Amino acid sequence: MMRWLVRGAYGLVALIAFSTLAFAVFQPIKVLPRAGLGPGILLQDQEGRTLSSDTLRGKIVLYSFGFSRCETPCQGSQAVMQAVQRELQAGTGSVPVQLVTISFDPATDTPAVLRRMSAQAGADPAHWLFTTGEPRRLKYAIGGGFSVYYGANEEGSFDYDPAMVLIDGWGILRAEYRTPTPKIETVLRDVRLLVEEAQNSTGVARYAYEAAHLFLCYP
Amino acid sequence: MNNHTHLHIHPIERLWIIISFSMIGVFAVAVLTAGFAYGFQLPVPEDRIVDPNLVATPGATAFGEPGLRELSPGNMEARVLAQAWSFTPKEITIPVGTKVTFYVTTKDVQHGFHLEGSNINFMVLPGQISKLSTTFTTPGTYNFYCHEYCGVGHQTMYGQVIVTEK
Amino acid sequence: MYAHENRLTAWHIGIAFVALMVGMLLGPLQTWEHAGLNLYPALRSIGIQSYYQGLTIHGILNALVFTTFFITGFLTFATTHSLKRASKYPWVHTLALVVMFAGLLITAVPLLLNGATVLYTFYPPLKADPAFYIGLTLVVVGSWITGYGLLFTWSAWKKENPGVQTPLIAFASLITMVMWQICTVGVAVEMLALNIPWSLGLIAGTDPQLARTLFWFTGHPLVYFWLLPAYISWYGMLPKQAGGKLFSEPLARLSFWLFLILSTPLGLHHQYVDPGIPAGWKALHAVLTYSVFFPSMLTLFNVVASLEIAGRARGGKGTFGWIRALPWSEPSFTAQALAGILFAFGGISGIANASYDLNLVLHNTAWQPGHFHLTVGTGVAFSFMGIGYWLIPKLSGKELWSKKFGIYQAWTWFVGMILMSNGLHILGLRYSVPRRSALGVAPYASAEWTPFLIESALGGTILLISVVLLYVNYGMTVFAGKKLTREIEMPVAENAEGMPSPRWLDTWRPWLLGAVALVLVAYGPVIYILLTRLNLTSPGFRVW
Repeated sequence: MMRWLVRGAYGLVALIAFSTLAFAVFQPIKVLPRAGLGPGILLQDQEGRTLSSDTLRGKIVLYSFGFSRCETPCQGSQAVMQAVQRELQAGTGSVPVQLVTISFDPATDTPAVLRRMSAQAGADPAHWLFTTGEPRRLKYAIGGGFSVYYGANEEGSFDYDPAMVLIDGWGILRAEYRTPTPKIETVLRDVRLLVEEAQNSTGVARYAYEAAHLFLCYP
Repeated sequence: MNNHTHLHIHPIERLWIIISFSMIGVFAVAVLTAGFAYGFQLPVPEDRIVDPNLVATPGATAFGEPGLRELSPGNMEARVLAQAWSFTPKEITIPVGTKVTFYVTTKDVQHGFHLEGSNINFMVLPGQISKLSTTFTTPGTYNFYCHEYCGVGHQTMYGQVIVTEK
Repeated sequence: MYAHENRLTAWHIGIAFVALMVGMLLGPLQTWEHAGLNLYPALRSIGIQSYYQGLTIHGILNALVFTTFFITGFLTFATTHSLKRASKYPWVHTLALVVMFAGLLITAVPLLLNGATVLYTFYPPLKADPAFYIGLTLVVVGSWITGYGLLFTWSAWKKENPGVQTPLIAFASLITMVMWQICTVGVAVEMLALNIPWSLGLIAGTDPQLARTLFWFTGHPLVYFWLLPAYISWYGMLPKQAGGKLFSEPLARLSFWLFLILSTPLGLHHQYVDPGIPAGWKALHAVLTYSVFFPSMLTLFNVVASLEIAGRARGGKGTFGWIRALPWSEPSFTAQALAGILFAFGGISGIANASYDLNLVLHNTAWQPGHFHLTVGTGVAFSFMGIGYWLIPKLSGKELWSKKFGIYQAWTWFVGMILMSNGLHILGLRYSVPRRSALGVAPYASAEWTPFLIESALGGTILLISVVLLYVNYGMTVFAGKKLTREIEMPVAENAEGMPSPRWLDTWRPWLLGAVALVLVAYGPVIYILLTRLNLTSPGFRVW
């Protein structure tokens, strides 16, 4: 009796040790890190409708930034947005995904200009919105909230560190792409991971997802 | 043959064991609460491993042009490049009450970064970016030191944060 | 019967104390430099090029060479004398000594030629001469071989004494050696997979974050490798030297098992502020670090209770009267008792270091040298000096030259260390003064620091007096002492309870499996994460 108890205890310890290791090594579930809470944000889209971080709750949101006169630094993110839009048009199931491009030049980028930008980019308004907002609020949200730097320069244009940001349905920042040339495959993979997480992390599976966070099962 | 299984513990020693356990438990709860509920931050992986040989090249990373810039009113970021035996920039001036996030990396050996009067204290390792934020509420001059041995000039490696009146 | 063991131990301990002498003489120079008296330019003529070369030699000789040589010698002596059985394979121990000594010589060459001024943590990408890494690796391999020799002897003893419980001193010595086997895996991998091939140019770059993690895998249990032999003396020998018995042998055994389990899976508490380690794993190691405080609390109670038995047996009365009755005229006792007192304070400052977020205030400040001069510099090294007061006469066959010098040495060490470590603790906590820095020529040094720098320099000076007293006494004993007219036996404390310990405190399997399982859980995922992000991009730098 006693002997079996002791063996059982050894077995349990071994099981815990090896399952911990196996989880970390084989990473049965992959997740994106939770980098922190995204900022509160208030925007107007190309139709003059109001859009806020509250109304976006429950949606996975991919943000890109720019302004109508922006050339090279904004082209990389535009190609990514287009690729994600193609995937969304093919359908992602029950989890809504929203693409949002924010112009930080509201003085120039009126709704009419935003509509033109949207048309030029081939945006489908069902998936991809072009927005801008009140300058001070934008500065707090983009600069302070997303830590994405932009500022007016002497040539009347903007200095801008190209970046894209991915936010999940809880408003948590899950990925940042701080490069002028983000990889389309990487962003697509990350969006898919968030969609899967939102679909699957219910009931007991939620704990498996939490374990994946603890073990840093990042792609 | 010894078939004895019972562990005899003196009553006073039992009391001592209980006190020791409780003390350790209280410490652990207090420290972890401060760390996770009150938000005393430790540096964590930035998930951006860099190549220390290229990190200082302008254009390659944000450390190509280290310095201070405003993200939004009252919110700044300082990118500091460490190398034997200096920090770039060596002097950082901020208005009082501003939140500053420090991003520090090194292009050669390991360094350290400890900013007086704040909870910013981390190792600076090649290939890794260390990040912590602080807000100074009192104007003054605060030194930041390199606190890891980095060669014969180690003792000269420091810089200053100058916190000015608004 | 023990001729070979005694001769071998004499070699180990002789090498250890010579290394310690050189290392310790460099110590006060650092405190003087901080206070403004820079003697390093004068040392150029004897080949020490900088403050940092001196600091490297101080750390390597004291913390790595002295401790390892003393411990392997002392545990060989203690195990065989405790089992009352000579070594099963004496040649294994001879081999161990040869390997360790060869390693020491190979390390010494670059160290003395300023080719390895990388401090005793040798963090890459500071790149030392390959001989430095190879030599240190050999010292560790030699200490492993000593451990194998002791295990062979013990298993032979087990066969000859079926059903007999292993005596406490041998039991604890074996646990120490097994713990050392488990925890040195980290530094062995660091040396063999990263440092040695990299310094030889076989791989172009190294990963500093991974190297640090492997280093601290060994680096913290290393302090238990230093400490457990002192505990062996405090539990197994000191009560007898004081004229008493061990209060509770079963709990002494339990605390050694707990050290076996808990020593290794907590090294990340040295890396709380490393950028590449996730916070969750740091927090897990914080809790495990607290738990290893528990066996030390058991030890505190048990050793003090044993000394109370001794004090009362010597006629001490009242609540504190037994303390006065202890043999304070015996240098071996006095040194170890005072070491224990200061060690308790070192433990307290260690709790602050272990505290996940409090550490932000203390990491790499002068608080750290303040802390470890109380723990390894006093709790351990001072205890070893105390052991030397009976062991050196035993091994040399000479009477201790002067008890009075021994008592003066003990008290000067006690006072000097209080001053020095107090100064360093305050500098670190209050002024964020960085450690490992030639503060005397640092442009940022502030006038506010001066009183405490002077306090620690005064402490350093008193410690230097203590060192001189120690070596005059040891030297005169060995080279000019009177021949012993009596036999010195290893002191072995009896169990006050008179009952054998429970059987579950004498089986290896659960404790050993527990130790391995906990290491796998606490370190496996962390190492795996670092391996998936392996960043072998750092070339070496020689910045000294």
